[in-house]
Amino acid sequence: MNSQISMNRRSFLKFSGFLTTGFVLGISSDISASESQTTNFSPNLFLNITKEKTIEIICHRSEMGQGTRTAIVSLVAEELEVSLEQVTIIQAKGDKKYGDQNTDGSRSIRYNWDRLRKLGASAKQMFIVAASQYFSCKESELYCDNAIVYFSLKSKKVSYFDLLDLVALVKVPKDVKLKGDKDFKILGKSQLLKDVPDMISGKTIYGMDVEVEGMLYASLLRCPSPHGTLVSFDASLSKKQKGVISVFEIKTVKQPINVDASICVIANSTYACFKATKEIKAKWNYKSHQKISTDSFREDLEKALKNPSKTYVDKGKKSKKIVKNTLVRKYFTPFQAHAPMEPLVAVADVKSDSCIIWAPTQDPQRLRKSVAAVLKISIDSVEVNVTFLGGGFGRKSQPDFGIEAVLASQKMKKPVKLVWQREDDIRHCFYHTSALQEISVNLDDEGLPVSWHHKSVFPTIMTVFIAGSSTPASWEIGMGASNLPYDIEQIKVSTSKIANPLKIGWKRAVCNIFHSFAINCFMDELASQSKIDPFDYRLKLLDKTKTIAEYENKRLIEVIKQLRSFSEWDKKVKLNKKIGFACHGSFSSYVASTVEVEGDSLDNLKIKNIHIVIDLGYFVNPDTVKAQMEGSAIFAMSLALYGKIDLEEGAVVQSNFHDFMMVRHNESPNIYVDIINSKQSPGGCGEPGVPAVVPAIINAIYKATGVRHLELPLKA
Amino acid sequence: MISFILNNKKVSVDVESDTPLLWVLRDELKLKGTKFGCGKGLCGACTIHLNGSPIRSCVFPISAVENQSITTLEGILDDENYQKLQKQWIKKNVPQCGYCQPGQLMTATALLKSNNNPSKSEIQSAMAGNICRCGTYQRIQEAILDAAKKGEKNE
Repeated sequence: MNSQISMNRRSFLKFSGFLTTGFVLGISSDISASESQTTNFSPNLFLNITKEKTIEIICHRSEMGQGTRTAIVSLVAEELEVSLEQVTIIQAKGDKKYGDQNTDGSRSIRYNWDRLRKLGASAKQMFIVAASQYFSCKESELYCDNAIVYFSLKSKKVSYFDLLDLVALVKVPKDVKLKGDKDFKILGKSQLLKDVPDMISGKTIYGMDVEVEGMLYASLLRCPSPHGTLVSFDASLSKKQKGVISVFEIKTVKQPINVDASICVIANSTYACFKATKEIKAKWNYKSHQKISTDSFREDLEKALKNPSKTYVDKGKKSKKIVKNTLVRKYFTPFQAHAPMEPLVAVADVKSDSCIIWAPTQDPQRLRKSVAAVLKISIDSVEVNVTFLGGGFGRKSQPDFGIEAVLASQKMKKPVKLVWQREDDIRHCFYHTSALQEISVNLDDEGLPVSWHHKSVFPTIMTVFIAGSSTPASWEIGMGASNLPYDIEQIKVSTSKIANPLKIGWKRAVCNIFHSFAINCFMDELASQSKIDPFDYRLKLLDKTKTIAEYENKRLIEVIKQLRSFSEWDKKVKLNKKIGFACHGSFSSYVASTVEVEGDSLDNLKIKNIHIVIDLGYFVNPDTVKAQMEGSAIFAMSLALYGKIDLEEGAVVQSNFHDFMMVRHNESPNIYVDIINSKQSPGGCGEPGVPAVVPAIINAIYKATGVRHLELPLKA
Repeated sequence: MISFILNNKKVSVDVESDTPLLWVLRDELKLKGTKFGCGKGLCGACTIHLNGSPIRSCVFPISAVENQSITTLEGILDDENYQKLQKQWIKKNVPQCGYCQPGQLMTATALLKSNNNPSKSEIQSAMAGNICRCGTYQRIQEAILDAAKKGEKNE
């Protein structure tokens, strides 16, 4: 795997601004000339220009389909004045020196927009200085393009590669000027993704494709409940099977690693493992959870909703307006699995005091830390190689599958590739949580709310880190509920304690999904009760001067207005088209969506057109933004129509794509995307599309069928 | 020993007769272009061609392959229909994570072979067995439509 970056290379532009929003160039100005001779040019961790005429740029974020590899190197390439064709992408190993590598929260561009452009600009400036010496001219007489410095006055030029000896002597600039967006050649313009040719010819190495010499294969039979332990097992039949080498217990690893109790089969092929796991007779103990079912959990939610124990927002006073009406609605959303196309997998090679691991991980630093903790070795002795991810959606930010491979390799004293079966993936997920919400409002004579009470109850993600956590955290409620954008005199947002029957994790857009679902469906019902167009209804409630928890209402308003014309809303309403609308701000981006359906019942329903408008501030690759919105729309359709995880006797019922269903080719609608070029700080892209589309679907279905669906999914 | 034709070459493997072809390709023959997605023939990530027709290799036992001709993604890179599709796939940035794309392309290549000018609804029904969790369906369908059109012009 070509993901080496040599640590002994001179690195004279030290970068120390990793975890701050600002950028700090630590300059080692005392580096002597002798140190720099005959080396490649690697002025910082992210860039290496070689004598072999390659320009290598590090991508420290994990690629799971969001186009981050091309995007990350675009930031450096733009300011460095090299073309994307000239760049080789090097995938970073897990190491804190790169700064945050946790590829979640739609942060890759948000956190690196300034930082990586500055790195590119610094390096370019150094080539300008080197070239001014080369031509004996002023720096101001030079410009760069495609890795060449031009001295236009004399019609002369020199390539970066021919300046490597000179540039090695140049000091790192203290401050650099970044390009204005008018001068961008790469950023803001659609680019071909660099990884596509390999992906479609079978050359891309996903976690599932890693081969290490002498490796054994492993697969696990897991306890049906994450809360159980192994009592006993009989693997005599499995052991007789050809290819099976060993069968042993893997014990639970507690928070924050969260490995379930299991029995591990080691064999000489993946399939031999799969087959052998089916022949093990195991006795598990999870008595404390065996009474839990979908129905019993629903009862727990109902009870919790009646008894709010924590209030996160309580602002404004009781309105003096006369209350003309009230409305109360309750919304339910089930547990969901991520189900990325590539099942979980990792290859680990544990030695006596070190470990190398290859994994499709979203969070290589967390995995590295977890491996060090489990093996009780120093973090420097753990090497985490990040492969391509066959989808992630939040599931692959957990270290559990990597740790299982480590434990298997430790036991076998050989490299082990541990492969999850799809059934394991569906049944042993860190699920998107299941929520019950209630919104109640008092309405004035115009039908606008003067009070708003939103109760949102769900098992909290905090259980990943702290066993027994039972109250949703403020950041979970802050994903769509406590940052309600609407101007209402009295707002209360509360939650309650509830025990967690499963493992909970974050899934693409997280709590924004169910909060946006409830709020947008509720707003749609309020609007239609008041006989006000749902666009107008929202606009009446949005004070354009207000900013709520970093979200500027004026940007949301622009997105809504743009969608209204982009989707031809008014024309379609006049034509009595079955069209629904929703809007939601999340991950520092603003999204609005309309969905148009045909049919008059759930049985003959067809989603025909989806329009999405997004304002995500500055963006790297508009084609990638569109792709993410298209993907979000399909993801949202699967959530609305099919996705759910049920519980029976403490265990998950669903197991594979026949009962955990998702949208397929024949249901794919026309998806139209428009991007507002607001030139604000970059927002997220991978996640914010999902929350707006789900309720837009439900609101369209109301138009078609007259039924207000308050529970998801619709078809399962 | 079970012998079959793989990408126009004869190969022989010594594995349990119930082993799915997918795992013979991946673990024994080290051809990684055919992907494991579900193991139950539900998602299409493992699609390959048996005597030219698409099948799910994850549920197809190796014993049933004896003396038959198997083509994997690695074996169709020079195929005319694949190359038409490949051009459109690159031009339209079709893949996101890319994991399902080999299977999508194996199904699409077989579709174009049997129908060189498919309608959108024909494409949707032919491709319905191939799940893409990233949701690249629209681009895949447009890419197939355009690949077929481009093919017409060349003729």
